[in-house]
Amino acid sequence: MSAQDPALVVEGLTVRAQGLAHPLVHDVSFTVGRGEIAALVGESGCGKTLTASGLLGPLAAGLQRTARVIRLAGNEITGLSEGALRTLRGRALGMVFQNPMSALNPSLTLGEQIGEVLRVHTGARGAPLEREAARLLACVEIPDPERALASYPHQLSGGMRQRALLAIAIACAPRLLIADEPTTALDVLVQSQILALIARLGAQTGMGVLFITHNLALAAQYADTVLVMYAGRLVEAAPAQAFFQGPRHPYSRALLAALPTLAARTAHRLPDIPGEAPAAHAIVNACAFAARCPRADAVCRSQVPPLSGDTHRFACFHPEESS
Amino acid sequence: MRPWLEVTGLGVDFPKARGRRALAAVSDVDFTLARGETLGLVGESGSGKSTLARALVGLIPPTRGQVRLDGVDVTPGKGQDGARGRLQMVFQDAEGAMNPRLRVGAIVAEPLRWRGMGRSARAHEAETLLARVGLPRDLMTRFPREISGGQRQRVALARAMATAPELLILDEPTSGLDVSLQARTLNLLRALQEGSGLSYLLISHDLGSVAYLAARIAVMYLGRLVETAPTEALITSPRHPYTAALLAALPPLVRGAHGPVAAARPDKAAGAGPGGCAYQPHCPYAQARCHTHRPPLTPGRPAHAVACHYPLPPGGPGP
Ligand SMILES: Nc1ncnc2c1ncn2[C@@H]1O[C@H](COP(=O)(O)OP(=O)(O)OP(=O)(O)O)[C@@H](O)[C@H]1O
Ligand code: SF4
Ligand code: SF4
Ligand SMILES: [Mg+2]
Repeated sequence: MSAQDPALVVEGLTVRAQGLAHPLVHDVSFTVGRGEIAALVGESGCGKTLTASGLLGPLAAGLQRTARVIRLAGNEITGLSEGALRTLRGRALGMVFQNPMSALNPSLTLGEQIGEVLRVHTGARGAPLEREAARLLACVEIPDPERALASYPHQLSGGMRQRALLAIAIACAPRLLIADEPTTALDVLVQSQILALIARLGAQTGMGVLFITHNLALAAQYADTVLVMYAGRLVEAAPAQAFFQGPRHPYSRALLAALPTLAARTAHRLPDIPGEAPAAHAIVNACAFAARCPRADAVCRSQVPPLSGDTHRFACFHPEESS
Repeated sequence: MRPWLEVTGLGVDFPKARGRRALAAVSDVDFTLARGETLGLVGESGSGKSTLARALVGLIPPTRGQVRLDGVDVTPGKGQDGARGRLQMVFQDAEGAMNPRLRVGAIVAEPLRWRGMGRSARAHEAETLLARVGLPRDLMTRFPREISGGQRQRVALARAMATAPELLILDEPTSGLDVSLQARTLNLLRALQEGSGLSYLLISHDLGSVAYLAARIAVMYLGRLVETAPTEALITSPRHPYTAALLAALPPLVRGAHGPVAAARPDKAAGAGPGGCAYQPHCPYAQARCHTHRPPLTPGRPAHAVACHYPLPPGGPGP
């Protein structure tokens, strides 16, 4: 893998479930550059986690992935055997999830858990292993790493546990970090600290980050690229600045308008999006957002709008004005 | 005039294992609430917000202090009948708080039985309550696991409303909901309150939601209130360094042009001396006195109380 390759290139990722005629994740394409944070946002159930695990992960039973291209740090993985894929994952991919408690083993100290990962990846043992574990904890800015290594997960705060997981995730110096709702369970101060840390690590090491969240405000603060997903499809993909200045898809705009910002405190009501998102596999020949969209017309109800555009892509027949 | 709800000196201790010193989870909490008013309670997880809420409704007996409603002592655990259903709590984890073997209709109707309502009246009232929180009738026959997270949260709200409470304590009512459902829930809470005289104590770490619903905000840090103020004053002119750090840590999209942009607090373990200010290890303004003397919550004007020896100047530190 060359240092110049993007962390991740995906083209045409589709995930199907057995017994369902239509896919749960449909023809998703995007790139995560080196040192870049791409935020994948959307409502619960829209397919964010399935996209992430569909990329590289082993899929749950009954699910099936197809893709034209999935390149992790320059390595094409479509067609790789499960064994070769596992090796590549171990070398180039790190993951952190929403609930740090369930991802850590409660009966082992942090040192034992980090040591285990390091032993597998580097073959180190003894004192060098301990030094490396302490160095990793220092990287994720845990004060007093020696003491933290001797602690059990329940002795750490939520923020510290998430940092520890991050240390494990970056132990193999991955080229891509997938962070699925890494801070949803944490409060504002800790949330922003963890994301700032992830951003710093990315900038220092060139690691790309796929940051899955339904928190648009955090995406606005930390992401370089925004990917909006709705009912299993990407409906908008753009550089963060362009996106937040002028989202083109009516769904993106509605999401932003619904945010309870401090400025909205005097509003009479917050503009929510009426109705519920449909299941991805229920939509066939229509825009999935049509039932909730103020701009929908007959065209929207009879065809799927393609995702088109150059750097700012959106899937809509009647997009919002650019600003 | 006497406030409707008056909480003074409330404290909750948790006994520590093996006879060690008790752990004070909540200390010296004072606040008041008017009928129909919403007070927001913000602070980081583990700061004691939920413990305070549980003490108010008697789920944990308070160790110290007093709760008065209309001037009458209703402190839980004091032998009287307490507030008896006048204060109700809606839990953060709506699913965990529901009996998984009961259908939605029965879950909402259960408290009505305690109010002595007959069977058909209960069914009718449950339907009305579900309609008020914007849920369709056909949900009544479903089990909790068969409805969405957002719907479960509304079922929990309908159930709490069934006791005809005067104060609803809402613990993180929108956490885990996505933006659209969050907006819908906040709108619903506001609509339920309009013209009804219902008061809310809204616990959340999301300052945006709290500012939307609450007229006043109380900030909690390690079991103590460090600042209470009208929402407007708290947001535009926070006086406690911790409140300022909370505001500064908000994503710019949420914060907009509000509040100071100070350096956020580093995430290090607390380690204040027993007598000092608990925020001292993180505080950029700490001085010698902060290590030795605990600052009491001192009332100021207009209704802006702060617990700090060296509060930020009123009017805000400027843009
Ligand atoms: N193993 C599976 N078999 C069938 N359907 C599945 C499976 N896993 C997930 N799904 C469905 O696929 C859709 C997308 O799920 P996914 O977990 O990716 O959502 P998400 O966007 O991550 O949501 P959240 O924000 O709630 O985490 C959902 O409708 C879900 O019910
Ligand atoms: S394609 Fe039509 S229905 Fe879909 S988002 Fe655009 S305007 Fe709305
Ligand atoms: S009392 Fe001192 S340490 Fe505490 S918040 Fe005020 S200035 Fe900071
Ligand atoms: Mg998910």
